Amino acid sequence: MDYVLIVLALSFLSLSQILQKLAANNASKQQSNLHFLRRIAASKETWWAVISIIVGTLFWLAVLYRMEVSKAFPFLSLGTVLVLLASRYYLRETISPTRWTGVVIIIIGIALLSRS
Amino acid sequence: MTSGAKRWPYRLLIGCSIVLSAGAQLLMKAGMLELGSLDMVSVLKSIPGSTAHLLPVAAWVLAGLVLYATSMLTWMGALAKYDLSLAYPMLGLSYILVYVGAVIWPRLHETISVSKTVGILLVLAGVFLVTRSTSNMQKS
Repeated sequence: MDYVLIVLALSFLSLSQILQKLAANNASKQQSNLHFLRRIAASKETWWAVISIIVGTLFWLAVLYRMEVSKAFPFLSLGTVLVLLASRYYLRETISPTRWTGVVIIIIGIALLSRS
Repeated sequence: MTSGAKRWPYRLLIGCSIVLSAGAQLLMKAGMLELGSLDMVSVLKSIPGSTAHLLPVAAWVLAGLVLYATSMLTWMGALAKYDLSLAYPMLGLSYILVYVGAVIWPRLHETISVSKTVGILLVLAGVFLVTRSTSNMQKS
């Protein structure tokens, strides 16, 4: 049950990250900050990001209710991997070998943390 | 190419976002601890009448959510210029702040251990590799 809640929280929080980036991408061509904020607020992606982060946060609160925050937080960083894969394959961002190495080291660190 | 000086506002935004999101985690955990200390059966029985027991829970969680929302806004500001795959792993720093905070804050009093600390140092090393690897700004 704890792990189901973690996976649900992770998925919605990561989805929100992707949607936020899409919203920011769409607005980044605006010259002034005011226009940027206006574009962000008018963007459909922004509101899906908000809904997604609310759902993810509710699941996360359920996780925090059941687990120690120091036990739970290593799992949250697995979202990094989800977002990295999404930004590679969906947003088409390039990821250098050094970055991949860094990500692998992060994952080893997380594995150690979660066993503690 | 963008000059180094122009990157600083975005680095500052990411820094703020990291500190705020760590604070948000600690406050939400404090709220859930308040919830866990309640006798849920009697709380549910009293709900049409008094919800006063839930006030501390709501206060902590709400404070956490305010920090969370502020962190999201600063994050979006930073994402306008940073690659997501580069910006997001920097959030790993907030896990370190959460760990230190959860140990130091008596309300949470979570434990320190060797494997936790080594794991965190590995995360730091990984984050360092990820953040220094390529040019940070998108060319536009």
